[in-house]
Amino acid sequence: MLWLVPALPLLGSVVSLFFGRRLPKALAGTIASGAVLGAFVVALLAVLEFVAGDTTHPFQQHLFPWIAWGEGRAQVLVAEAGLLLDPLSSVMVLVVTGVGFLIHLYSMGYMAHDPSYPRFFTYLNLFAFSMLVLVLANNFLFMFVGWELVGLCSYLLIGFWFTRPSAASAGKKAFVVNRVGDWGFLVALLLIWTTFGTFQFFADPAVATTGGVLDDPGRVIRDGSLALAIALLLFVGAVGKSAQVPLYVWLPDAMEGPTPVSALIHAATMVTAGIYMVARVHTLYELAPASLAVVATIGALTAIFAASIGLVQTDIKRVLAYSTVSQLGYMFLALGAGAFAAGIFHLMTHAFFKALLFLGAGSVIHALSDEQDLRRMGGLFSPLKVTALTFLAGWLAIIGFPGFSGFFSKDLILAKTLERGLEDPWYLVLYAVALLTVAMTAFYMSRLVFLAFFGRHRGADEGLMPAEARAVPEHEPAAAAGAVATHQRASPVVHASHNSRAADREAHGAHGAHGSTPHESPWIMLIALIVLALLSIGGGWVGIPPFMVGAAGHESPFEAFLAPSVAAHGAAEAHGALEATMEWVATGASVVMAGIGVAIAAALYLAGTPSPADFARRFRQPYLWLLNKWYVDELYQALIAHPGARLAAFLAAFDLGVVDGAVNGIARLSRGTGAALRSVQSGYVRGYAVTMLIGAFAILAFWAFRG
Amino acid sequence: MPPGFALPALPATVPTEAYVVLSAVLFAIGTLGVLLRKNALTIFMSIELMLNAVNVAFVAFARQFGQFDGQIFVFFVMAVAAAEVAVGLGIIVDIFRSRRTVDIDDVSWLRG
Repeated sequence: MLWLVPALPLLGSVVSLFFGRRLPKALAGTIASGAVLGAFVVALLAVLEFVAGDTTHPFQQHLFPWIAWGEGRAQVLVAEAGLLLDPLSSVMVLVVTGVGFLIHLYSMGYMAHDPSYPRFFTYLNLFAFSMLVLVLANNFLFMFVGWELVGLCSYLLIGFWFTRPSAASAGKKAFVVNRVGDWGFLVALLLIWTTFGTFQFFADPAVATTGGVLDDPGRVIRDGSLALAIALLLFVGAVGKSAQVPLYVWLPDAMEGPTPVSALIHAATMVTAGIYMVARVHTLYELAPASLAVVATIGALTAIFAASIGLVQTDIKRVLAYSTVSQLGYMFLALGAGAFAAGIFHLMTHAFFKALLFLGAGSVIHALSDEQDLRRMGGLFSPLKVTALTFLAGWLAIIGFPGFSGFFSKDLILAKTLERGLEDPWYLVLYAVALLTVAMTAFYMSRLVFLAFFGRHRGADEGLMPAEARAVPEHEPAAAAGAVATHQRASPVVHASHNSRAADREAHGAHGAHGSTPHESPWIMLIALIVLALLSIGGGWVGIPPFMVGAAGHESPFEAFLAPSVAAHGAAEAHGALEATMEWVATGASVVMAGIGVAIAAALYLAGTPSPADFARRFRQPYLWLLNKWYVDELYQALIAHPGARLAAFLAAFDLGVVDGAVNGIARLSRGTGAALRSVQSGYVRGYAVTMLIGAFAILAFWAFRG
Repeated sequence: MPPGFALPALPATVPTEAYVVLSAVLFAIGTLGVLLRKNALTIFMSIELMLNAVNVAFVAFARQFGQFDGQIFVFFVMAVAAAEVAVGLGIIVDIFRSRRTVDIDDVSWLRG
C-alpha cells in the first residue's frame, strides 16, 4: 500500500487539472488537501508497520519494470518504478506529507481570492507527488524522475503569476540554475551505471537481483578517484537543488511565487532534496573522504555567506529566503562532518520552523494587504496575536533557544563538527564559521521579529523608516506606497533587481485598497500556523542528546532510529564522542553566540541605541556590499549572462544572415531570374514568330560566315 | 534507286534557278504574312504558303539531282500540313467561339 503515498497526490493533481475549474473552490481545495492528508495517513501507517518490524533492512515495493531489454530470463532490468522505505525515507515522507498537508490547508485560505485557484492546487499536488517519488524511489533513475519533476513544479509555481515579468523571469532563473546541478547529477548517473551496472540502491533479498549500488560500494569501486568523481558530481546536483554556493542565486528570486509555495517548496521540502540525496548515498561519500570535506566546506561557506546577506535585507520574504539558504548550509556542514543523522534532524526541524516562519510572514503580508517591506511594518503584535505568537515560536526555534527544536538540531550539528574538528583541524575552522553564523542567524531573525511585531507601526503612509533609508544613496521618500512604481524606486537595492514586494498582490485582489488596520488571517490559515508552532517547539525532542538527560550512550533516539540508514560504514564516524562536559561547553557556546546576536538586534531595533542608521553610516561600504548581496547577481550577469546573451546575439545574426541568407538568397535568385525572363513571354504569337525568324537568320548567318 | 535507272530529262526550258527563286519569293511572302497580319486565318494561310514554297524547292531540287527523295518529302509535308490544318482550324474555331474574335493579338493571355 506504499504506492498509495505518491499515487494519491497524483490523483488529486489530475482531478484538479481536469475538473478543478468546474468544482466549487472550497471543494477543489478540499480534494487537493485531502489527497495529501490521505498520503500522510497512509505513509504514517506504512512507517508504523515498518518500524514494528526489522528496520535494519529497507522495505521495497516493486511496482513495474520501467526500462528493460531482452525477454524472459535473459531480461536485463535497467530501472524499475519501485519504492523504498527505510528510516531515512520514513522521516522524509512524513515531513513531506505532514508539512505539505498543513501548507495545503493554509493555501486554501491564502489563495482563496486567486482566480487561478484550481491551477495552484494542481501544481501543488503534482509537487507533492514528485517529491514523494524523489524520497521513496528505490533506484537512482526513478529518483531522478522525481528530482526533475520537483524542479518543474518549482518552475511552474515560482512563475505562478506569470503575467508579471519578474515572476516569469524568476521561474526561468530557477530552472536554468537547476539545470547546471542536474547536469552533474546526470553525469553521475552515467558513471554509476558504467561502474555498477545497476541503478538499484539496495539489493532486495525477496527478489533475486544483483547487489545494489549502496550496499557496499567499496566492493566494486577500488579506485578512490572514481568514487570522488561520482560523489562530487552528485554533490553538484545537490548544490543546484539545495541552493548552495555558488548556485544559490535562484532561491531568493523564487520568492516571487505565492508565499505557501515559498514555505513548502523553497524552504521545507524541495530544497532539502540535495541533503536527502547526499545522506542516501553517504556510503559513496565515505569512500572518498575528500568529497565530505568539500561538502562541509561548501556548507559552512554558504551558511555564513547567506546569513551575512540576510542581515540587511528589508523584504521579509527575502530575509527568510537567505535564512533558508544559510540553514541548508548547516545541513551540508553536518553531512560533510559525517553526521548524516544530524543533517537529517536539522532538515526535519527546519522544515517545521521555516515553514512556520514563511506561513507567518504570509499571514503578516496578508494582514497588511501585501506589504512585504519590513520598514513599513512594526507594532503588529497586538493586532495579529496568533500570527505573532506562532512566529515567536518559529523565531526561538531558528535561533536555537534552549528547549526549542532548532536548538537540538543545530547543536547536534555544531557538536558533531567540533568532534570532527578534534581529528581534522580544518573542521575546527568550519566550526568557528558555523558558530559565528549562529550569532548572525540570531541577529537577522531578531531584527525581523523586532521590526515586524514590535515598536510602533510605521504603516504605509509614514514613509520609510528613516533609520536604514538614509543609508541608501538613491532613496526617495516613498509617499504613495501603493503604487508599484514607487515600490521600485524605494527599493533598497541600488542596482536594478527583482522586487518581490508585489509578489502576493494578485492573491488578494479582493482586499483591494490597502487597509490601514492590519487584520488577522482566517482560521484555516491559523490552524496550520498553530500546528507548525507546536512542531517547532516540540519537534526537536525526539533528538534530545543523552548527555542532557543524563542517559548513557551518545546517540539521541532520533539518531538511533536513523542509524540503519545512515550509520557510517567507513571510518568517517569511527571516533569517540565528546565528553559530556565538552558537550555542555559546546552547547553553551552556541547559546551565548545566539544571545549576542539577539542582544545586538535588540539594541539596534528595540532600544535604538546606537541607531541602525548611524551603524549603517559608519560601516557604509560593508553595508552596501551586503545590501547588494555581495554583487553576486551582478557578477553572474557580467560573467555568464552577458557573454551568453552576446553569443546568442551573434548566433542569431549568423542564423539570420548566413543560414537564412543562403536559403533566401537562392529563392531571391530564382525569383529575379524569373522576373527577368518573364518579360520575354509577351503572349503575342507574332512576337514569338519574329524571334524564331531572327533565330533562323542567326543560324543561317552562322553557317554562312563560319569560315 | 536501281543503277542504270534515271528520270527522263525534261526539256531545259525552265532552269532550276527559276523554281528556287519562286520558292524563295513564296516563302518570303508567307513569312511576312505570318509576321504582319493579325487575322489568325490569314496567318494560317501564310503558313501554308511557306510550306508550299518549301515543297516547290524540294521538287525542283529533286528534278535537278534526278532523285526521288525530295518528292517523297513533299508527300510527307502535305500529309503533316493536312493534319496541322485540321488541328489548327479546330483551335481557331474554338477561340472564336469563346472570344468572338480571331485577332491573334487579342489571344495573349498566356503572357508570362
